[in-house]
Amino acid sequence: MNKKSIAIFASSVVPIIFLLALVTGATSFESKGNSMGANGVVNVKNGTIVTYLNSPIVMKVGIEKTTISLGNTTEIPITFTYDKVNDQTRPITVLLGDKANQAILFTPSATTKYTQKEKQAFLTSSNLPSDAVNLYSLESFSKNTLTLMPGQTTTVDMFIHIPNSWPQEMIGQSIIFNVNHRFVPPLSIQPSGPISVEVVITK
Amino acid sequence: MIADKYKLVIVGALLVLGVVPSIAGAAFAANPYVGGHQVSGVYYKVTDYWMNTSYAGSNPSQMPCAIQNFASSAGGTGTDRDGWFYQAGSLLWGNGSTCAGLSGDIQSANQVWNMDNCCASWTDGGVNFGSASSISHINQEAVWQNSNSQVEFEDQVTYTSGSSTLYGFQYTPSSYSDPSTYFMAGTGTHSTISVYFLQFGVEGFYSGDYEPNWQIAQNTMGFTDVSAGTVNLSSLHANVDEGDNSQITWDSIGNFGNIGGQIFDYSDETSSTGTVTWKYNQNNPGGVLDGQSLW
Repeated sequence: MNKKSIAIFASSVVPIIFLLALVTGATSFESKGNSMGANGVVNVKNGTIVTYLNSPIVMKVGIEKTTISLGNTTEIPITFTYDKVNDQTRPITVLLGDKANQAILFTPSATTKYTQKEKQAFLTSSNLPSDAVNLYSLESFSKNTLTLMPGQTTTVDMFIHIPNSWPQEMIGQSIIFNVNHRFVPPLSIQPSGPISVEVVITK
Repeated sequence: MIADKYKLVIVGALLVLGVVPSIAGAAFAANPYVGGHQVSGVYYKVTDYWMNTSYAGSNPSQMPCAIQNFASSAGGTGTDRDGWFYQAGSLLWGNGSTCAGLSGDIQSANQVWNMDNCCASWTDGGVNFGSASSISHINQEAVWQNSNSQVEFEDQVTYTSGSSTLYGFQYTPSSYSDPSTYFMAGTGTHSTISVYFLQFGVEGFYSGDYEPNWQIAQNTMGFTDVSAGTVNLSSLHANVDEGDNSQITWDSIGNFGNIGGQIFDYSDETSSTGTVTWKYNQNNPGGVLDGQSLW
């Protein structure tokens, strides 16, 4: 291009840039504003923004609230559905009973008895005091690994066992048991649906 | 000649129309966010950071979607940032039908981002902490462990009954080509633009989600630096950052990564040293002012 052509080119481009800047609210075209939505609410697909609010995985516990007495086990069906979102084609693996996650329950007296650092140390300890309970150690599953393709639904059974050694202080209390799971690859949006079971522990 | 002129105009227009949406798209991907940051120099070797939070005063039955609550820190190599950032967080689901969430419940929302990707590189998979009405407060913390090869996000949920549950989620950076070995804190500058390496704040769930009827208290914030030891944010001044001024890091070619990215309209705050309560205020359409002092 010669200088005149460049000038013509520029005269066509600059007003359009200016106009679009006004439309988009951008004040300049410096490399700034690479903003991050949280929870993966937005996705970029072929240069356009696709906004969706729901996770590709819908997890549903079959029983959202139940009662379990000491020494007993309850079976709860868990359904995973991989919705077709944004034409995804990749498989998603669900790891159940994964060791990378921890959930330790402290009784009211233990909550005030131990310091924050002491509680955190229990996350990596195999021996817990009697007033702390590793909730995930009370869960087991009919399968520990699932692989889902888009559009597929699979059900597994989760078993929750309440030992006789359950702290006296927590009898009659409601406890949230989450399905100990991990997705590979990780989801940008957390799974939706009922993902936990509220259990009242009785004698 | 005239034809050539029109060709150049058309080519120029097509180029711009093709390029600008990809730039503007990033801006449109933003969520409403209002947060705070410490006013201090930069700390490059932060090994853990924490925040206590409470949703008391929120009314999820009058919330259409959700409100998110984060303590965010840039990832770093110990001498520089690297374009990654970490968010220790949780969210409160409303009862509305806009989002398919756990109505009235609080859920974990720990995340790790590479700022050049559209979506989070890692999330904790989602754990339900229970109904908001049953929860007193949550201690959210992120800790480097195993010789700085792993980050553990820890959420200690204290219930109104007095019991508590401590959740741990492990993230291994090498599995995601994340070069980070430390968090960062403080305020730095790059290309004359301020960057806030440690931020605390609240975020809407999607672009333009000026969620109503929520209230989130954030306090007892701090971090541990290899050289400085424990630093409580109450010992430093803190200012508001939000909208397009919430930079937390930048990448190798100089792009900035923001938290949120949109002004959080209808937000408000009350604060005292070391404590801020963010809340919805229908009479404050412009939201909290960017840059104002918190303490």
